[in-house]
Amino acid sequence: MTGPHVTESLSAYMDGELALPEREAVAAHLRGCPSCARHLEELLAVDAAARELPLSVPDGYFEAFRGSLRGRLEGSRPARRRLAPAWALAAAAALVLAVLTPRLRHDMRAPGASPPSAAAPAPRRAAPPPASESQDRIAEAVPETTRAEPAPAQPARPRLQQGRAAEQRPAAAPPPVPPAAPPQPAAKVDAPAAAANAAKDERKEADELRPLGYAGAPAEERLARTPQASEAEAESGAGHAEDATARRDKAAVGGLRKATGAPADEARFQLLAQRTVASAAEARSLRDAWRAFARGEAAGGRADEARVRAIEAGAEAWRRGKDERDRAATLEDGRAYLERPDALQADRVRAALKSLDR
Amino acid sequence: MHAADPVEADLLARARGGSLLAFEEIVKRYERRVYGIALRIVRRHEVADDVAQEAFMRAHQALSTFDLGRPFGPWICRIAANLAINHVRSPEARETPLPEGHAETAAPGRGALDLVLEREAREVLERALGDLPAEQRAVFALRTFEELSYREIADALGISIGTVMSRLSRARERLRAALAPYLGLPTRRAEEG
Repeated sequence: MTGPHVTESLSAYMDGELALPEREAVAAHLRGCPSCARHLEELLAVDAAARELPLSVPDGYFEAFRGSLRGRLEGSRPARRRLAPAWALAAAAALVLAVLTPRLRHDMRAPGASPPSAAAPAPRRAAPPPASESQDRIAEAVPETTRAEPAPAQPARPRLQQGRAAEQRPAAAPPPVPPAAPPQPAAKVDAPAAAANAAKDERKEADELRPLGYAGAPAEERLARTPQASEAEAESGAGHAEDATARRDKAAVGGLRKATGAPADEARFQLLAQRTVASAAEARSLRDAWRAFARGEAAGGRADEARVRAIEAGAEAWRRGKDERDRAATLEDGRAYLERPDALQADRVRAALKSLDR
Repeated sequence: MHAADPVEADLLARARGGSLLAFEEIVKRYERRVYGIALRIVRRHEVADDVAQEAFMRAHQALSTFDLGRPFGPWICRIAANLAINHVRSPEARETPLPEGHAETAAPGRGALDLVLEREAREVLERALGDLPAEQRAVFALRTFEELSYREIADALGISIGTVMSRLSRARERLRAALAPYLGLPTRRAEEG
């Protein structure tokens, strides 16, 4: 044996945490001291035994863990709580603008020009950012003054908005405003659209959350339901994570009706029209919402547009997820639409169905 | 310190931008590890669950300050370890042993006596781990299960490297003493036979 026992240094020695001189000294001692060498072996055995202790986890624990964590994160997002005042501010601003500046709005448009997308002021288009058509639509739904001075709590994530808006629709996207929609007085169209735009961030938050919540309500489950059931659920705004969006939309619609007296259906339509999707699940959710909307509309251009958008959303779900059930459901919706005597946009639907070709 | 995995860094950047989907991917990567650390320190599933949840919550809240060039694992493990230690130190902590009944399957070629002794040894080790002071247990868990360096453990727990060294040494000595009747048993029995 060389020198006194080194048991107190063995723990750090086995971890390689001793400085070189001490390490060499311990190594030299171990070569000549069976007692310390055995002590080291026992310490190594303790570590090895500890590592082999099983980690007992109940079945399905981590799925439940994630679900619970998701709930806490959703509930703790300060931006979501802060959105309410901004939302109210924007609605109020839209109301004021709608009441006080109808002439200004009128003057901004060329005489006879109907959809807002065609009435964009030239200077703003002269040097636009590389924005998508849908971005333009979103921007133009908001009065110019509101755009120039966004609500204070609304600057959140412009980059994300661009990204999401850019992938809102495939190349064969429909025109931004339903062609068959009845013309609306400027004040009535602008107010809900402006307020809806103010709520956009909040819906995007929900869009971000949905895939997390979606784990608990899988596509298979949703697809197994009848279209009627899906529509009823989308209508009632209950039962699914996605319906948080529906509930918010409903609340937004209620707020709009109080603030502006605008027709609720128009507000709902505008809210749905501005929803973007970033996944197959979100596209399915949008499809179901459009189905529910069409179901609630007895007839007319808006119902027709909703049916077409439901089909396009279904096609988008298939494009993103390549789930055969999405394709089958969309083909079925498309066939049903084309058989309708009141179908107004057969060509557009055929184009959507053609996009389902493998 | 290892550089961050680019995929992980991308997920973290997206999570920082507000994507809970991206954060859930991060959670999936680390949930078992974080829960394991918590369980090995607090010794109770319910408490470990709380600790692990809180660790991810705090990490999420602090993402804006996290350096994306660094790996997430050590960071979240440290958060979990500190939360677990704080819990064990708290007056309301009631430490109880892990529930019995881990699934065990006999390894081929092992005798019944070996299995009994092994099971006994495991139970003794579980108890001994539970009997360690929380500070020693935390250091032992971070070193043995997470393989953190002494410097990393010291940083994580806010103690000196010398303290890490002494706590770890004491913890191992206590565990060794508890397991002494079982250490080297197969060798001894072979020698005796």
